[in-house]
Amino acid sequence: MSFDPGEGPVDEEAAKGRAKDILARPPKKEPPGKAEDTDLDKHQEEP
Amino acid sequence: MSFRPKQLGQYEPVTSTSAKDCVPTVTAQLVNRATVDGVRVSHAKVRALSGAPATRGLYISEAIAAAAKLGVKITGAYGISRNDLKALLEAGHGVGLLINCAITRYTSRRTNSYVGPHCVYVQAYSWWPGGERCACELATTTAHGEYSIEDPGTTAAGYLQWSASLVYRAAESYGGGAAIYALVSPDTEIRPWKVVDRAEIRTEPTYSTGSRIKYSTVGAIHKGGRTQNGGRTKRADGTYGNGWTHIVISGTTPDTYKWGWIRGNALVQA
Repeated sequence: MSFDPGEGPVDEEAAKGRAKDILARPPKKEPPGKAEDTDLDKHQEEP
Repeated sequence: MSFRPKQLGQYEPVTSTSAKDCVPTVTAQLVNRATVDGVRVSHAKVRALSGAPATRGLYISEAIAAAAKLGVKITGAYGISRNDLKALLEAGHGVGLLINCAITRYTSRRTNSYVGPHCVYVQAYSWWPGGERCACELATTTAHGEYSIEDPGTTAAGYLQWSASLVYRAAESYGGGAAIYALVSPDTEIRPWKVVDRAEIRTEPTYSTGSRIKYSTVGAIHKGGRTQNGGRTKRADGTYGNGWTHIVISGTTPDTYKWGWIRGNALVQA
């Protein structure tokens, strides 16, 4: 059986090692003009 | 399952900045997860610590700075892949995921009718093997991946299963291309812990059943196992939580380890 990238069963031990590598990568500049734009008030007619 | 923070909403409490407080709310969730319920604050507290003006939401760097003031090191993971996201969760990290609600708007996982950039808390990845009908928005009997997500803009819904395909489309639409942007809290599973408070080490993750094995020693370092929600525990500020951590109390090899449960707020990550 084949899966799309990012799906499929997980291997916890491999994940631990991979997570360390991901978090050890050199920091990149955060995306500009994104999170600061959030404003749910513009769209709150539903509960 | 790892310790799962109680839901937090950006409208709990309602403040003048609630509509813009998805990132502060998710940051508070990540702090709660990383401390196994030792520190629980509202979006308003995180916003105040960030120093950001009330006219806008928080930059990721501001959220990271606010979390640091609460004693938790959150990392910004920018431009990660689908497999990276899955690996971070499986390794025991909590994740705040930046998404584009234009993708979720016409699904049962929508944030009301909001269609802009948003941040949600991701607790875990799981693999649905198929056969039975799944609990995500696909409601299918076919095998696929899912994420357990709490949307701070729809707190009443609580944690919901989202299909991995929906999560990836929403996250990649935020970043553009195949890049995923996330806030990542330290892992809580299978890692060392340092005792900072004298507490009972018990046979079960609760005070109401099981028995006390012994008391912890302040300063001692323990190998850790799983974290989980259990019986009620009291925090230093007088409020109550329910996070517990499984630690090794004796033995030198996995075959000889003796384990016990201790309230999460008696430990810090070593």
